[in-house]
Amino acid sequence: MPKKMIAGLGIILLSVGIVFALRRFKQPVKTAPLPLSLEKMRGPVNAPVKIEVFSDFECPACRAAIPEEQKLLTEYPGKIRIIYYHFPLSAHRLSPLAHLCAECAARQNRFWTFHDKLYAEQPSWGILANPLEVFLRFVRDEGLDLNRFSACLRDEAVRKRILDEKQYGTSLQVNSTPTFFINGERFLGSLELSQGGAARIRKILGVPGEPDKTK
Amino acid sequence: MNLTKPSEWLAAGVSCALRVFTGGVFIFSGLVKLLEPYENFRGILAQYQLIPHFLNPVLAHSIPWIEFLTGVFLILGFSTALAASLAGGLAAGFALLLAVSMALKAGLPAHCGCFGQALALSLKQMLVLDLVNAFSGLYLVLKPSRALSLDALFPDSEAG
Repeated sequence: MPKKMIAGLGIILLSVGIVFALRRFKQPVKTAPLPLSLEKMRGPVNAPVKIEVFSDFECPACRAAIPEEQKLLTEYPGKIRIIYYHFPLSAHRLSPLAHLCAECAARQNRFWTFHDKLYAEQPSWGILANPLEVFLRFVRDEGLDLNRFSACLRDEAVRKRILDEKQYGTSLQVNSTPTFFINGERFLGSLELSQGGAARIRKILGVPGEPDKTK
Repeated sequence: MNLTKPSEWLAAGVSCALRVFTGGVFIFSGLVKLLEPYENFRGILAQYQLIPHFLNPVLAHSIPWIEFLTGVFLILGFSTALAASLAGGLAAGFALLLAVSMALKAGLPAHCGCFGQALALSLKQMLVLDLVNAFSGLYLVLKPSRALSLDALFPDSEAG
């Protein structure tokens, strides 16, 4: 075998070895799953399909995924539960406030209506310097207790819960939104949810597959 | 190898610098993706609607390894011509994909996802970097130099 070929194989093997060693070394620190927040869960607790979603309220791709999530819930009623995790991206200026307000709405059992409103009106509040007034309008529209809501906004435990959820996502190597885990299998974005994700759900439920229109 | 004229030193220096730059970018780009779950990159690829969906898993598995190994070969100066052709071709392909996607506004992620979670470059910044790497690859193919490279140890092999 020519010397150069042997050297080339040696370089490749060494490089591959370094990658595998780094992978072993760079295992993310596993965070214990957070106590389930029932207010941020949609669908029955014993549903066979569990979708965990890490999402950001200011992220347009997350907004684009909402119709796909709703379509799945409609197609398989009672078979799917969706668990929402806060994952405010640092690049999004308004996300911390939006997530704080949503978590406070959750404390009054109105997370999902607040969630839907935040995404539905994202293009309008997403361009404001301070969208608090818009969020407070949502609060009034939902008939939430404004005093409780205001106190919640100042509660450090609420902020910590949001950070803990983001930390949990980071420990799972989530780095973009929306990221879905369907019974533990990872899918990114609305396209993957509607294609690979939907196929995975059909497989779990034993439903015959649809023809793949993308091919 | 003997470098006698200043112009030869200059050409060798430029070649080395381009090899280290482009090789470094490719190693970094490949490595950060290889150290993350492969689904993260597959998800980014899925957002480029110009790529057929069924190719995404294959590309998500193979591109990071090709980038990483190409980068290693370039930095070491081993089979430089081949590695430079591959790097230049890949960079040109990425630039074309970005440019066409941007022009058609066809399903674009906010960030290209080229460097995993380690570095978030905008699509325009990445387009510029891809073009630089494409030209770097082309230069290394057209103006080969064996200075500070493993190729110098294998005199009977390719000139690059």
